[in-house]
Amino acid sequence: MSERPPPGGRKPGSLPGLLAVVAMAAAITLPVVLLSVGGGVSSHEIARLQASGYQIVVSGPGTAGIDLAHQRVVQIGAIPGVGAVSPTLTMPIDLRGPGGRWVPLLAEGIIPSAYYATLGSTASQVFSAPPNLGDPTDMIHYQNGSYEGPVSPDVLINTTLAQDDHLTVGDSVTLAPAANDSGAVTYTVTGTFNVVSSLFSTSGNYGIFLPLSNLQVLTGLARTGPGAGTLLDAADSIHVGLTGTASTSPTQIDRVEAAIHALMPYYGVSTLSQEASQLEGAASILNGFYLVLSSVGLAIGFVFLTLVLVRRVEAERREIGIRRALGLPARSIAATIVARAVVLGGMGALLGVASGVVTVTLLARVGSAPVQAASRLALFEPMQLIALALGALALAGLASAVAVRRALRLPLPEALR
Amino acid sequence: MRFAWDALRRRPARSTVTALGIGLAVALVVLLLAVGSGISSSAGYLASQSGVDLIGVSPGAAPPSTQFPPIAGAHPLAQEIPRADSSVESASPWLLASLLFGNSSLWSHANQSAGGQDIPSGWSPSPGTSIGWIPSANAGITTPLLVNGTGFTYPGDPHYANGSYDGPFTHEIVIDQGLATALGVTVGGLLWASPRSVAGPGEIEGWYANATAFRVVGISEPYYLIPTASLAMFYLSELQSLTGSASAGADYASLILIHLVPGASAGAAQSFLQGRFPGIGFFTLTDILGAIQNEINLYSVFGELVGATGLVVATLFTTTVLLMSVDDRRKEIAILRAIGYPRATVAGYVVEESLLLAAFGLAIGLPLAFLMGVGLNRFLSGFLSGLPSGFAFVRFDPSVAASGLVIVFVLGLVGSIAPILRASWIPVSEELRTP
Repeated sequence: MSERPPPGGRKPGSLPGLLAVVAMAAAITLPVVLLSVGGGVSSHEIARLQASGYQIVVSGPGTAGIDLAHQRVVQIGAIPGVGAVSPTLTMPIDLRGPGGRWVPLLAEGIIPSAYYATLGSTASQVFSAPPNLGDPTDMIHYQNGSYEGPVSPDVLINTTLAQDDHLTVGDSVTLAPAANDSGAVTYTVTGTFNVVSSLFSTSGNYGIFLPLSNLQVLTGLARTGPGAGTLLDAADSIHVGLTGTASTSPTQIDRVEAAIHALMPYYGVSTLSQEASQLEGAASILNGFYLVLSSVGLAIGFVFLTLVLVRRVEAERREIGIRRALGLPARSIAATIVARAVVLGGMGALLGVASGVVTVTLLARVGSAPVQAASRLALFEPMQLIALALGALALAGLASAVAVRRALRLPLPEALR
Repeated sequence: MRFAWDALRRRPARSTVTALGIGLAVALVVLLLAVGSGISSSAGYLASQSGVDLIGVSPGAAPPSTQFPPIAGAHPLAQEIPRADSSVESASPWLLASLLFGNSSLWSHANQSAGGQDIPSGWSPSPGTSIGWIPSANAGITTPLLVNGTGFTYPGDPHYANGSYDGPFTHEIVIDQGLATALGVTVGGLLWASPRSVAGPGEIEGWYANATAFRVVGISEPYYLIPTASLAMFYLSELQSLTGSASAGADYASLILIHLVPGASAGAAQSFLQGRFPGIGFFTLTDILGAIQNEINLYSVFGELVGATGLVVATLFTTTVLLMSVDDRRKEIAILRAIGYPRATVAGYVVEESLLLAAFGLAIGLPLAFLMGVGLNRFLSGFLSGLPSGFAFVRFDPSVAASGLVIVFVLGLVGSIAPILRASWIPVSEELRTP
């Protein structure tokens, strides 16, 4: 960069310095916004996972990829240390309320007592009382795979659906696998549950809960195949909760995981800590992606700052020449320039962090619904913000290197003329 | 323009880094615009290539959600819909399901050993997505291209037999190359399919006992409308038999894909069919593409934020460089003003310099964005096989180039405001007195 002093030896005004600060602030705003929102969403999902009352998840391929679910409950329940085994099946079905309108919704088939036990600390957010779906074990209707036991035609509906369709406890509703009366069954609403919001998962957002065996029969997943007697007993996944101290002991969790895997090697068996690690890994990759996106603004800001600092050196060449002629050490001159860079970079960092917080706050208020939801989860981690600010200071220090080199290489006679 | 050229040539290093800075910002914004254009136009392109004009789903269901209850009475609907509306060329019910598939090698190992002890480690039935359709009802709808075999041989859906489900079970299946490779089967080979899962080697023999055998009559390319590693296609009634909805009262389909005659209005057909078939919800491709656009709103907002930040920084950079340039030429500007050049002319010189810098930025930014776009397109295309030719995740069309041009023009104009003010208000007499 071949900068010469402006005509008349005039010092450039403070405007370029101010603009450099604003540019650095804008460049730092972006990673603050992306990292805080992205990190907040990831932390929210990890926290949701960790608040669960289960430690191991068993899943099969595709939808309803686990068969013989009730038998698997017994098999897994016999492993020492296992407290609750909850198979779940999620299927879209149709509901018709007293108004006569068919409403498509997602139904979750559960074994009530096991499901409640594996909800963990989120249970109280979902249910005001343990789910009332008749037989808590779902074994009576299942009746050893014959599905000929007495049925509990009970259903729990979410509060939003209850409000929209004016449904209350005690009302009768019709459930059907498709929006017609073929295969339709009348149920009684025995309770309501709250919807727990989640950005990426529909868990907790199900329209209704009903006993697993009931949903299996309704959707043709109880028995199937060319031979009418083939038992299917399908589920999507099985959540396994451990008892007492075993639930917090990684060794015990790994032991139970290994035992389940030995029982059903073709199914996916994973612990919550493995799932949390996967989420954390994905979050790290996303953070890297956010930083790459932010790097363009930071790179321009860096060049910008370099230019402003070099310009100041050129404008102050006479002062620098006099100081050097008086015998001031080079490090003193360098320190002045570096300090100036750090002040500019520091101001940019401070402004950038503040601007990032303000931007996220604004997005949480005026963005579209998903933007608001994501922004409200934003997490401003002090260590991350400090690291960003230090990064900005490091960039400023680096930007000052060119200016320092220029200052120390000024030809003295020329500078003093 | 000479004034602007002189200013840039006088400070080549500064001009270069400024153009580079603007170029980086422009490249980022143009790339984001090209990605937006690619996603939007590719979704539209895929939709138009599919031949599907309307999609029928369970009433009340709202795409782009993919989880909704099935539609009952699928086979009659395939006849009734075209009969009811002359603008409908074909109405094709599709049933989607997840099945497991096994080949004859696994079958033979399972039969040779008690409890599956001789089944080699890692051998198990393969999962795949299945489509059940009436092949002849797919007229006008793009289906996966066969690379081997002749495909389904019987007209209609033989096993359905007017709802009795006692017609001949053809046992014919078409699979895609992914599933064929996973199973190691070729045209004419046998495979077994079942909705039942299997937890371990000990259950494989029982799984085969309840699975249904099919003969492969075709191997197809992957299918971009249903991106999956493994895909199998059945006659609708035969897949219904596997999944338990083979009865006249059920006769399920997940979707009904409708192809209209050329020139027919999708909106008009939607309104008519909605009134005629209240038990089905009909959506045009515009409805679905709009819903997809809403779904990606979260990402586009943050993408816009990324682009806006780059532009703000680049504009501030341009402003600063122009301020420096004006400071460098204070005396020249004062002389111009003294000999009668109006402020507007001096302002014009500054704008010219700004636009010239921005144009250099564009010259750097556009090729850079194009190269990054090509790389990104290759990277993303690796995730989805079977895309039709001409499909692109990143698309540089004239509107993207025009947007880049407008952005650069606006950046140049906004970046020159403060320098114009400074140049216009230089104290002429004081500046001329200065040695």
